[in-house]
Amino acid sequence: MSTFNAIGVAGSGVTVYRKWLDAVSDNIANMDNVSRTSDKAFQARYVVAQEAADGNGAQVGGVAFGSAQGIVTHEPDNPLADNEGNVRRPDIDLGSQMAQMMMAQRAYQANLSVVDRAKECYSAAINLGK
Amino acid sequence: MTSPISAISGFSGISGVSGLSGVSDADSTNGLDSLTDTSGASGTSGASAVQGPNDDFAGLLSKGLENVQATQKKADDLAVQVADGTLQDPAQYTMAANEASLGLQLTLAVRNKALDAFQEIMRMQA
Repeated sequence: MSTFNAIGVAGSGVTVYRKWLDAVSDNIANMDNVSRTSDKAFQARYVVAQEAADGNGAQVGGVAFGSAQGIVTHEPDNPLADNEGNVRRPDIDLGSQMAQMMMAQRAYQANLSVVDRAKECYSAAINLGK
Repeated sequence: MTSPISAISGFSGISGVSGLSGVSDADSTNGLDSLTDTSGASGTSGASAVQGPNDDFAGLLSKGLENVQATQKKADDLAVQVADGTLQDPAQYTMAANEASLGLQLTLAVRNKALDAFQEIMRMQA
């Protein structure tokens, strides 16, 4: 518990949502990866948010991975295709990723608004003492 | 110790400012009461009674200053990270800088208050 605790708590939320944004951008960047059917598909990253260990704010507890199976598609002209002409694509839905990006963005902004408001409150308290 | 200036005792309501909550105790009438007690008798016991809370206030003040120092060091470290490009989240720096700035403002407010109190007491001699 520090002097200006609300700023630190909201800051931990900012960090969590920044990591979520990182995960979403990673997923979108690798959305069209193609791999051999003998290999794993790119696995989508999902951050696991949880309450901070000290009870002040939130933290990223770990990363969950999407399907390694991916989606097997028939693309005989792909250089990575196997004997039957199949390749593996990651099981990532762009619509879902975009929705997650919006949620992460808005939550990031919400946490920064909390920081801003907390700063105003603390300033008012300090000015009271002047 | 009941304060005659009871309206100001609400100052301790800002309990989030934990380093400060001792202010109302330390520079309230604690020392003054003991002075009026000893006005007819030996002044030494009065002086030692004043010494106690003063120590406490000094301790609180130095603890608060260390806190401010720590937040400023954190902000400085993050500023260095901005410069060498290793900072992952720019918001971390701006928040740390805000926290350091608020800490400094709080220190100044406390310092000015303490100085005001001191000058007020010095004026009482005249």
